[in-house]
Amino acid sequence: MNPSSPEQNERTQPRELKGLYKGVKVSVKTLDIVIVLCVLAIVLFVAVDLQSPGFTVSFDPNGGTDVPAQTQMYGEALALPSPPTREGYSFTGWYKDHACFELWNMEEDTIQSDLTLYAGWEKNLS
Amino acid sequence: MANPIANLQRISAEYSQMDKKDKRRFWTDGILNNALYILMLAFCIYTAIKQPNFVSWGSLGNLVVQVAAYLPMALGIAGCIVLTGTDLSAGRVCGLTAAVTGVFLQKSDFANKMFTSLPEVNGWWIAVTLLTVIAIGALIGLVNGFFVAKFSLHPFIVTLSTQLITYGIILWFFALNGNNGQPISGLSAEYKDFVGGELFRLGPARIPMYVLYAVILTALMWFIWNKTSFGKNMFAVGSNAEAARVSGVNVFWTTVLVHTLAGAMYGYSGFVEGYRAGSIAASTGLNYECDAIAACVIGGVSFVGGTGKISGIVLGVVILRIIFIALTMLGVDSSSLYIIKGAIILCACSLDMRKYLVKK
Amino acid sequence: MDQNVLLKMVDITKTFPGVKALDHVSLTVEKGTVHALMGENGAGKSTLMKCLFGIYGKDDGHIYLNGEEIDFKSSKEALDNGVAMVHQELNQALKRSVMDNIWLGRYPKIAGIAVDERKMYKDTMAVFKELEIDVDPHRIMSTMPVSQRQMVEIAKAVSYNSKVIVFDEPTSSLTEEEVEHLFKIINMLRDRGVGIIYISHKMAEIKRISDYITVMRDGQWVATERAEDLEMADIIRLMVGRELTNQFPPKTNTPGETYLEVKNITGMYNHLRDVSFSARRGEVLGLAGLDSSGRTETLESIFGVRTRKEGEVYLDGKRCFNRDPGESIKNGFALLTEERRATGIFSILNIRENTVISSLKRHLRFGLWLSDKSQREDTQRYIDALRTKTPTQETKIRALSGGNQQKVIIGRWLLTEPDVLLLDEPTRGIDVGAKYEIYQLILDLANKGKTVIMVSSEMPELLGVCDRIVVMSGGRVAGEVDARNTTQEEIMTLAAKYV
Repeated sequence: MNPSSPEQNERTQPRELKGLYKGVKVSVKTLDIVIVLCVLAIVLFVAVDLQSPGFTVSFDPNGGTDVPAQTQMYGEALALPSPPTREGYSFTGWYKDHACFELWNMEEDTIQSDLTLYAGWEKNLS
Repeated sequence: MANPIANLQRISAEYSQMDKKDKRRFWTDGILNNALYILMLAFCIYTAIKQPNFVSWGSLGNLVVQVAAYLPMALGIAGCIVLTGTDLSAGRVCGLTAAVTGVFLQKSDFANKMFTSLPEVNGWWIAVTLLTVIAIGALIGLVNGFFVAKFSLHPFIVTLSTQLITYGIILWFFALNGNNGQPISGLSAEYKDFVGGELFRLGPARIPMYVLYAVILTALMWFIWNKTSFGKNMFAVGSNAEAARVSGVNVFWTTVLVHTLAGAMYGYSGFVEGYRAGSIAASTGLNYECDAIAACVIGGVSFVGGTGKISGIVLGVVILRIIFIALTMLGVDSSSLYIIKGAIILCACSLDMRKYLVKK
Repeated sequence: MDQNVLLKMVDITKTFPGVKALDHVSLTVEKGTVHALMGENGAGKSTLMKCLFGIYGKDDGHIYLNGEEIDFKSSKEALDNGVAMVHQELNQALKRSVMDNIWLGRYPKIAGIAVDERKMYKDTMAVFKELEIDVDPHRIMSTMPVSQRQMVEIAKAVSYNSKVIVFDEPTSSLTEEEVEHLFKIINMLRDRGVGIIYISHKMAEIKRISDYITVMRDGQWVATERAEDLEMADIIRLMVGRELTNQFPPKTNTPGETYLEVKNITGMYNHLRDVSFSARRGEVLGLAGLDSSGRTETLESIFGVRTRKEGEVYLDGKRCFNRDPGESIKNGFALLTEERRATGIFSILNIRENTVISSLKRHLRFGLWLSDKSQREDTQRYIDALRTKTPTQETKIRALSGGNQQKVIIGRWLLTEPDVLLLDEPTRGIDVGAKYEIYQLILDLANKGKTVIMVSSEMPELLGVCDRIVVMSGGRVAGEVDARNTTQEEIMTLAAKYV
């Protein structure tokens, strides 16, 4: 006789669920495995991802000369690269949006995620 | 239940009477049922070691701000989950209302203003905008609710359709007046003050006005869920729709109203999201419903239907946000976050099912 | 060991957290006998059977089949060893055909690959012929009534050459005629030397069919006797552990003037035709009939759950439209449904929420919010009045026994202050002791001048509680009898009128 069989049976017996899970028949043990696998997957994924941590800040020169991308950690202030150049235009700064409306604010803005900054240009009055 | 200390004493008294086998079971049950909380704690500790400024007023403020932004949508969607349904259209409705908010409240002197004939932005106009976007959200919710209640269609199907339809409307909206799909920016300062004006400071973090609004909405939803006939009927329908019908509950109107209320909440979310995004694109609001659904399930609003508490939803949103803030500070990039979100939802649903089975 | 002993369960013990579900229970089944297993709900009958089939593991004790010790891990293993169970709730592949269900998991094969449909058909027909079952093996399960599906389940057990067959409440959804057929089959199986364990609540059946009766109470073995040595009163005494002198409380109500009139109800989507009857104040009116004779449909049509094609309902001479349950409640009607689990309780909500759901308006303050205090008071009042056994109001209703759940739902309806109570099988699945309380409650309501209409499949219950009985047959009213001077035979004859 197996002394642990009552609990085991209760745990391995698939049972019907209700609501949105209607028609699902699953045992507690199966769910335990799914939960453990999910948690392991999350931890593993985070661990792998942290091998190369940081956020990529790319710069869209908007027609000017290319600027290399940077990798920075969360919350750091951005060290702005030397400005690109463009024939017949002068550089007005790095903007958060393509339409060049919101300027990247060196004092207040910090890196929170992957980011692309756009170069703003003003036509030279020659 | 009410007294956590007495509860703890009861548990420890029970624990001391258990034999070895039961004790082992107590621990495995405890660890598995709280897997996500433990995961959150592990991430927090690791982040705190790696990034000392994780434990600071600044990141607490950041947490409060993010929770306030994501909470209203979760509060809305929770009602649909209580009815054993869900709502996949939430994110897109939020996107649409954000776009409408943006267009209504662009600076009058902004060069790319889409509709130049709109009036000057003032307090009244902001109120009109807010009511309009809430009405738009509620209308889409009403459509969802009507089809779910009238034709007994599965909420998945109905809300998937409205999700796509709403996206179509968003794209169409962005092409209006020669805009050609450009993001909407140049929001007026009055609007920014109304939504994002400083309430108070928590260390270096600014706590914006919408935190206050989120608190008010949470209180309102708590009242609706716990103190009104509508709330009681909602739980009854979610628990057993047929029994509710026989008991004289108007199942049709309850279902329609739950979805409408949810839609109104998405409308409000869009209003805030417009400010948060700064420049509103057609993709604004994409997949927000996944966060909201995950938060609800983590917070104990079960897909089994008929159960859930407002406090649970708040807790769910907080936990999800803490995990994401911790991961972001560690430097996990946003594409990886999606994969982690997926795993969290699967895990949360398994936990939800497990709790239901073990309780029986 | 005795040659005749087929199955022997000795000292079976099973503990759930906090409860001793089985306490050294023994059961011996001999070849070619029907052994009835009786006890109130929660006495441990089902648990004992689940231990036999390995659905629960037993904590202690031994099970012998033909003298060999066995310990099944699953019902499949039990089936392979000749121990079968015909479940109360049938577990079948409803979208598949009859023979698919019978041979599921052991299809005869041609060359080990293709399923041999012809052999399957032939074998099925052979079993059916033996049992005199008239069902086409190709028929899809879901198109058949429950009774026939149950026959298929029995045929399946026989096809496994089972030596022991357990019947768990087999007659709960059968008509009299089908019950007769079932008994014939059981007798046939008995003659072939099969040992049968028969679980049921229905005394009359047990007396008729069984050779031995084992009574259980609170997880303990109480007695095993030859069936002819036990009178019905003895069985009840053994089951409840006390003398129940009367199964029914004394009738004290006096019907007054005519109150409810139901005229020519014809159903839109069912077979109800021209159902008319009337009921008086303070009267308990019974609705008798076979299954699917339209009793439930009648109540549901009056209450507005089902759509009526024609027909009117008058209350005190005033017409009530009762288009939906909400309107019916306003008009003073209440309906206790037949399927408590499916349409009665909100299983995951607590007792208070279950109690107040139909009368939320009473608790509304300033038309805005619900008062917790008055909800609590109302709930407590009916917990006390109906003597519902529950630790607190916050207890989830699914934690209560069937009888107490029923009381909570009755409390829910009494809170709506109804004048007409429609009770559909109010005592189904309830202990003998609790039944008495429900009868008393029904009579109390009648004494207060309420009109009670009660549907029941248990004839003695109708005769014991009702004043008049309307007998239905095939969706029509077959006749009306006075409960005081009628017999079960008269009612049965009427019930068969339009079948």
